[in-house]
Amino acid sequence: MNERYGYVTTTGEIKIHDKNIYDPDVSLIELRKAVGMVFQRPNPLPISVYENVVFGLRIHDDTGRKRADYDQAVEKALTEVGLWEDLKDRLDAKATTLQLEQQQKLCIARLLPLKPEIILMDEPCSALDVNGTKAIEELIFTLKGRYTIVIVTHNMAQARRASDECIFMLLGEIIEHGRTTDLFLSPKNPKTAEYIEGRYG
Amino acid sequence: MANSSEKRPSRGALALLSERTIESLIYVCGFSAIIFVFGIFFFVFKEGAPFLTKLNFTEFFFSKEWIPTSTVQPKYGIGALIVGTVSVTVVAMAIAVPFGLGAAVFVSEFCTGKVKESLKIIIELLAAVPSVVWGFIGLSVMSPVIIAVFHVPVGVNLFNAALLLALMSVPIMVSIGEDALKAVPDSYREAAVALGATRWQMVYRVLIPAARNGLLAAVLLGVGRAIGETMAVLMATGHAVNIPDSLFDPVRTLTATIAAELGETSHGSDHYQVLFLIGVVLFSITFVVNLTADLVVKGIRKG
Repeated sequence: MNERYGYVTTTGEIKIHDKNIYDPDVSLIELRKAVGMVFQRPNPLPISVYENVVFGLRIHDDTGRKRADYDQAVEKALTEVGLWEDLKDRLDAKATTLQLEQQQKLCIARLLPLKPEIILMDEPCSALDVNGTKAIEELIFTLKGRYTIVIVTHNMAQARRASDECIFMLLGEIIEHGRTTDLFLSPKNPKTAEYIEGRYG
Repeated sequence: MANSSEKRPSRGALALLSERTIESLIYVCGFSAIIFVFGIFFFVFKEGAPFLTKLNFTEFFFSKEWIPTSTVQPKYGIGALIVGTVSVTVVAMAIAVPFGLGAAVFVSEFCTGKVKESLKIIIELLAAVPSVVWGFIGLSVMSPVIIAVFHVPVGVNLFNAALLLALMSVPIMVSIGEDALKAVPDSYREAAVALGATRWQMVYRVLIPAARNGLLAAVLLGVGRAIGETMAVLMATGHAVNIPDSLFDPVRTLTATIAAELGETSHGSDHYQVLFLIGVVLFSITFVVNLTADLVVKGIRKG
C-alpha cells in the first residue's frame, strides 16, 4: 500500500500514483480533493451539520445535483463515521455546537463525499479525551479498508495501536519504515529503538 | 489564622485611596457617554420644544413646502428634506457597499505584505480628508465632469453628493470590514482550503457568512456617516428643496438645512425652533438606525 505512496527524499518529494505532488502542473484544488485532511483541533465550519458534509460537493462542480443527491450523501457519510443515529434529527444544528468528538467525526465525514484516496490525519485525537480518542481510533479501523489513512502522531502507544505500517521520521528524514509490529518489536535502526524506548523525544 | 493575616504586609491608606479613585474615575468615564447622549438630546429638544404646540405634525413631516423666511405665511414642511436625506444616503450606499466590502475582502484575503500595508494606509488617508474638501471637490471637479458625461444641466445634484458620501464612507467600511474578516478563525480558512475550495469559494461560502455581523456593522456605520454628513452634501447637492425625480435632480438634506440656516435666524424665533426640531428628527433617525443594527446583529448571533 505504501509503495504507490512511495515516499519522500531529503529534497522533498511526495508521490501519489508516481506523480510528485510538488510538480508545477499539479492542480492543488484537485490534489486537495483527492487527499482529505483532518486537523489537530476539530474545525467544522460555522454552518449546519448538513452543510458541512455537503460543502465539498458544493464547491466541486455543483451543477446538476439535486436535493436528494445531497441528502443521500449526508446520510451515507454520517453513517460511515457513525454519527447518523446521533445527528439525523439535528442536521440543521450548527456544527460548532457539537461535542468535540462529534465535531472531529464530522470533520472526517465531510471528506467522504469527495471520495478521497488518502486521508491525512494530523494528530486527530490530540484535542480529545480518552473516550474520544478511542472512538476516533475505532473509526480509523472501520475506514481503513476503503481509504488510505496517514496519521501523524507523537503518541507511541497510539502509533502502535492504530496503524498497520509505521514510518519513523526524525527531523524531516525517514529513519525507518516497516510493519508496525516489526518496527516496534525489532527496530532495525538504533535511533528508532531508542526513540521507542523513550531515551529522547 | 488571625496571625497569618496580620503578618501579611498591609497596603497603605494612600494606595487604597488611589485604587478607589481610579475605580470611580473609570466608572464615571463609562457613564459619561450615557450622560452626554441624554444631555445633547435634552438641550436640542428644549430649544425646539416651545414650537411643538404650534406645530402641525402632518404638515411638518409630509409637506414639501419649506418656506421658513416668508413674512406673510412661513411654511415648515420637511417632507422634501427627509426624502433628500434618505435618497442621498440610499444612492451613496448603493455605490459604497459593494466597493467598501469588496475592498475589505481584497485587503484582508487577497493582499499580502507591502501591497496590503500601503493600501490600508491610503484608504485610511481617504478617511482623513475633511468634509469641506470633499464638498469643494464636488463643486469644482465632479460637477463639470457630471455635466459633461451625463449631459445634464446642473452638476451639483443628488448623484454628485451620493458619490462623495460613498467615497467618505468607504474607508470606514473597509477598516471595520477588514477587522471583521480578520477575526474569522484561521481554522475555517484551513478547513475550506483543505477541501479544495478556491479562494473565492472560501470567501463567499465561509468568510462572509462567518463575518456577517461585523460586515453588517461596517455597513451601518457607513450609513450613519452618510446620514450625519453635512458640509459635503451642503456644497454638492445643489441645496434646492425638491423631491427628486431622477439621479441628477438637486436635493436638500436635513443636515445641510440646519447648517445653512441656523446662523441666520434670530434666537428663539419660530424658524430657530423648527431647526432644532429637525435636529431631534435627525437624532431619532440615527438612533433608530443604530438600534436596528444592534437588534439585527443580536438576532443573527442567536440564530
